[in-house]
Amino acid sequence: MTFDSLTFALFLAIVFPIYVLLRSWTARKNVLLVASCVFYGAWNPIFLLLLAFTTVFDWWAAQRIHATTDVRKRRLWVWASVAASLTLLGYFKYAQFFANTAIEWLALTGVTYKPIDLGIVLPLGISFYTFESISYIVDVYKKRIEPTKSLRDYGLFMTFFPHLVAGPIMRFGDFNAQTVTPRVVTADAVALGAYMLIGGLFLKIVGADHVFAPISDVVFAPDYKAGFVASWAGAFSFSMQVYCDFAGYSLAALGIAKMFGFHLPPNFEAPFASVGIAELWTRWHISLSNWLRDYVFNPLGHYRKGRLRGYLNVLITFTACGFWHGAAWHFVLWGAMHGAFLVGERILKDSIGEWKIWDVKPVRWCLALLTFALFSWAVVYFRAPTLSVAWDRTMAMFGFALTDAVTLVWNGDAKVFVAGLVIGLATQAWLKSRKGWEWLPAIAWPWRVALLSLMSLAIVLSPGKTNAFIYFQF
Amino acid sequence: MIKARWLLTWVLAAAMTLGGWIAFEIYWRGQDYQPKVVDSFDLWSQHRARASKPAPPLRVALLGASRIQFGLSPPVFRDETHKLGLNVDPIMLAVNGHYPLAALRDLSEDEAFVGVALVGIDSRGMDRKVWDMQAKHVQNYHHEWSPSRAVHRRMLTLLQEYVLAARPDFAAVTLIKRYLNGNGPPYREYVIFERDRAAGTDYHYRQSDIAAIRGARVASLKEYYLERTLPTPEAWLNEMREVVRWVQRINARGGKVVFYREPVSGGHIELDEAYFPREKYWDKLLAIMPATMIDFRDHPELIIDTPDTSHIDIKDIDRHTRALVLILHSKKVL
Repeated sequence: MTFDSLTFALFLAIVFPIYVLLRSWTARKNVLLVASCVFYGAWNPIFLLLLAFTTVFDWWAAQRIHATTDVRKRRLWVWASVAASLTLLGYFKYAQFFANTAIEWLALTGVTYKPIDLGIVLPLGISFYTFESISYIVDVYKKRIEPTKSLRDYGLFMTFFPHLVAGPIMRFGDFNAQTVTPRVVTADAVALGAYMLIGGLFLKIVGADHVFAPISDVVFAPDYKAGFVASWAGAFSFSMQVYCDFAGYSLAALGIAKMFGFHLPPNFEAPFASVGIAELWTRWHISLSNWLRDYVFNPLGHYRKGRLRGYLNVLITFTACGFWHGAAWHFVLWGAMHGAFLVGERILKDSIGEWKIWDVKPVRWCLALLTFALFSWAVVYFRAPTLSVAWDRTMAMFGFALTDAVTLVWNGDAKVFVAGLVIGLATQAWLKSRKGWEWLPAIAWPWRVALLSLMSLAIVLSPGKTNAFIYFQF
Repeated sequence: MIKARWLLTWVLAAAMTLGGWIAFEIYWRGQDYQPKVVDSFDLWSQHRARASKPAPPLRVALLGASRIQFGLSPPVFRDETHKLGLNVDPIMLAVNGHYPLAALRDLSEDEAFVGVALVGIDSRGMDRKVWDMQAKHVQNYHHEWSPSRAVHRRMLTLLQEYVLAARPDFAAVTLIKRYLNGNGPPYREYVIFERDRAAGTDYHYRQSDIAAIRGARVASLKEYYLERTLPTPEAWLNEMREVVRWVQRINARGGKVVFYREPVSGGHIELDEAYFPREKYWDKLLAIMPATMIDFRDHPELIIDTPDTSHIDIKDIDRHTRALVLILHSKKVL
C-alpha cells in the first residue's frame, strides 16, 4: 500500500477513527499492529511471513543476549541474528546480482554460461526493516538498550506502517519510549500531521511525478543521445525528482505518525541548501546516514586509527551505502563517488583551513550550487539504467558529448522543470535555517491556508501518473 | 487559540480546494468534455484475474488489439449467449495497439484457465517480432498486481466515471505544459472507453474527417510494412509451432482457442494481402493449429463497414458481437 493510493486513503479513514475512539493504550497498540500487518500484506500477504520470522527471531535472540553474561554466548547470538537478517537480505536482494556477476566474470576467463533468471521478488521494505532489526540486536548486545519482553511492542516497532516500507530507519530505543507511554492524540498534532501528509503527497505527486520525472525519463532513456545541456538538465531533474519522491514519502510518514501521536525522526532537512557534501549527508536521508555512522563507520574505526585509515573507512561506508541502495554496479559507483567527494572535501578543508571568505553569503550560495552540481553528477549513476549510459551522460556533462548528441527541446516539460528547479532550490534555501516543522504553526494563518489550498488543489488536479516511490525498489 | 486557527486553516483550505475543484469541473464540462475511464496495466490485471476464476460461468477471454477492444461489447456478448442458454463471462483483455500473443501464452501457462480464448489477430500479429507486445501487461499482473492495487483501481475507476478532473490529460501540470507548447486544450476524442475495458469509436463525432483518418491509417500501415523485414511463409509457420503448443496446453485442460481475423477493408486489406497473402500464411496455419479459425471474409455477416479501414464504427459493435457469438455457437466453441 502506498501513501499516494486511494487504498491508503480508505485504510486511513478506517484505522484512524478506530484508533482515536479506543480508550485503552493496549488496544490501540493492538489495532496499530494489526493495521500495520494489513498495510504490508495488502502488497503481498506471503511476505508477511518473512517479516514475522525476522521479527520473532530477533526479539527472541535479543532476550537470549540479555539473559546471559557469557561473552561467547552473547557474541554467538548477535552473530546468529545478524547473519540471519543479512542472509535473507542477501538472498532476496543480491542473489540475482551475484549470479549475474559470476557469469560475467567467468566469461572473462573464457567460461561461458547462459544468463539465469532466479525469479526472486524483492520483499517490500526489506532493506529498511533489516537495518532496524540489526540496530536493535547490536544495541542490546552493546547494552545501550534493554530488550523488550513484549513481542507485540517489538512487532509494532518493526511494522509500524508509517515507517515500515521506506523508513525513516528507526532505533528501538527511540520508538519504545513511545510505546511504553500512551500516546495522546491532540487536535494540534492531527492538524499538523495531516498538513505534513498533504505536503508529502504534493512533493511526490506534483513535484516528482509531474514536474521532474518527464525530463529525467527522457534524458536517461538508453537510446537518447544527450548533449551537455540535456545531461545536466537530466541530472538536476533527477536530483529534484528523487528528493521530492523520497522526502515526500518521509514527510508523509512523519505526518501520519504525528496524527497517531508518534514522533519519527526527520529524514530530510533542506539538503540542497548544504554547503559541501559532508553537510549534505547530515540533511539527506538522515536516518540512513546516522545508521551507517553508528553501525559501519564507527565500528570500522572512524578517524581514530589515522587519517588515511579514516579516508578508507569513509570510502568503505559509502560504497556499502551504494550497495545497500541497489544490487547493481552503478549504485556501488554512486556510493563510492560520495565517499570520494567526502574524502576530497575533508582533504581540502584540512589543507585550506578556515578562511573568512567562506562565510560570505554569495560565496556560500556558490558553494551550495557546487554541492548540488556534485550531487547531481553522482546521481547520474543512481538513475542511469546501466554503467555505460551513466558514462555517456558523464562525458556529455564535461563537454565530451557524442557528435550526434541532441540538446534539450525547450518545450513545456523543460519550462516547467526549470521553474520547478528554481522554486525548489529557493525553498530549500529558505528552509535551511528552519529545523523540523515548528515554523509551520508559527506562520500567519492566511499563509498556511494559501499553502494548504494550493497543495491540496494541485494534488486533486494531478491524476494519471502513478510512478512507484523510487525507494520502494530498495 | 492555536487550535481555532488550525480549524480555520483546514476549513478554509478545504473550502478553497473544493471550490477550485468544482470550478474546474464546471469550466471544462462547459467546454463539452466529459469524465472517462482510462485504461491502465492495473485495469487489465483486474480483468485478467477473472479469467483464472473457476467456471461457471464459462470464462471467455477476448484477446486482441484495437479491433477486438473497439469491436466487441462484453454485455452484448453475455446477453447473446444467455439467449442461447449459456452462462458466459466475457472478459475484455484486448489492448489497443498491442498484438495479443503474450497474453495467450500467459493463459496457456495458467492451469486455472479452462475457458475460451478468443484471439483477434491477423498474420502480421503472429510474426514473432510482435509476440511480446502485451508482455508488460502480463508482467504487471503477475508481479505488481496486489490486493492494494485492486482496491485502488476499483476506486479510481469509480472516480473516473464521474469526475472529469480524474482524467490524466486534464492534470493541471499537463494542461500548463500543453499551453506552453501552444497546443491549447486537450483533444476531443471520438473514442469511448468503459470500465469493462471495451471501447468504441464514434467516427461521426463532430463530423470527423473520415477520409483524412482513413488516409493516415493506410499511410501508416504502408510505412510499417516498408520499414520491416517480414518473415517468409515457412519461417512464419515454423514459429507458429510454438503457439500450437500453447493451444494444445489449453485444449488439454478442456479449454478452447479461437483465432479470429476481424473485419478490415480498403487499403488496409490490400496491403495485408500484398505482404501476408492469406493462402501463404493464414490458410497454411489451418493445417497445424488445433484451434477454431475464423476469417471474416468467410462469413458475410461479419463483413461490416470499417470507416478508417481497420475499425468498425460504434454503432456496429452490437451487430458485430451478436454475429460473432452465433458463429462461435455454430462452431461449437460455446
